[in-house]
Amino acid sequence: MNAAVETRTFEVRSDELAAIDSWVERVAARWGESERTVFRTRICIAELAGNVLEYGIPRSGDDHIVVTLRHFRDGIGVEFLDSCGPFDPTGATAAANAGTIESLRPDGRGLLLVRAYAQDIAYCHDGARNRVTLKINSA
Amino acid sequence: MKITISEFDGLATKITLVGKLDIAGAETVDLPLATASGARRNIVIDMVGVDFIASIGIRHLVMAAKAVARGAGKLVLLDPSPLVTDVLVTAGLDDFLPIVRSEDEARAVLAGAASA
Repeated sequence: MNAAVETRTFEVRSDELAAIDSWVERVAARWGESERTVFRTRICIAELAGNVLEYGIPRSGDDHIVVTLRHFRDGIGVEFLDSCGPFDPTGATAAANAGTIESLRPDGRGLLLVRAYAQDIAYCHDGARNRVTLKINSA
Repeated sequence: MKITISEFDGLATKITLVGKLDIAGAETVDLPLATASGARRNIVIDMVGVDFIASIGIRHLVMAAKAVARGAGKLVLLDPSPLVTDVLVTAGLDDFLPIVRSEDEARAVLAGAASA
C-alpha cells in the first residue's frame, strides 16, 4: 500500500515558521500518530527551517521551502527542500557534552535534537535545491 | 509567546512563559531574559505553559543561565511538560539548568545554591 503523502510550499520568511509548524502538526495528527511522534516531527522540521533562515544564502527574491510528509506504517518520512545556496545542515557540528556551565555552548543543539529524534538523515544538493530527508519512527 | 515577570519569594526573579519558544517566541523573550540574567540573580522560569521549544529557545535559556552563573546564581526550569522536558534532556541541559517539578523544589535548589 502506498504511503499517504502531503506536500506544501512555504516562503523563506521567519513569519512562515508558524505556518509550517501548524501544517506539520495538523497533518501528522490527522494521520493518527502519537503526540510524541508529532512533536518530534515538528521539532525536526522547525530545526531545518530555522537553519535555512539563519544560515541559508538567499539566491533570489522568491526562495522557498517545500516540505513533503509521508505516512509510513512505522513513522513519518520527511523531505525538506529549500532553494537557498548549498548548505548541509547535517555536516554542522553538534554541541558536545559540557563539563561545566562555563563551557556549555548555546549553539549546536538543533542538530543534536534532529540526530536524536530522526533516523536515516541524508543531505544532497541537486544543483538547484538543498534536499534533506529523514524519518521519525512512531513512538 | 507571553511573558510575565514577578518576584519569587525574594530568592529569584520569576519569569513565566506561555506559548511556543520557537524563533518568534525567542525574539519575545530575548530582551526580558537578557535583562533579568544581567542582574546576575537567580531566575526561576515557569515552563508549565510552554508547549513547544526549538533550539533557538534553548540558546536563550543557556545564555541566561551562563550569565546568572557568573554571579554564582542559578537558573531553574519549573515544571516543563514531558515533551518539552524530553527536548531539554536530549539537548543536554538538565545537568546545568535544574528541572524542578514544584515551587518548593525550586526553593530547595536555590537555597542549595546560596549555601554552596
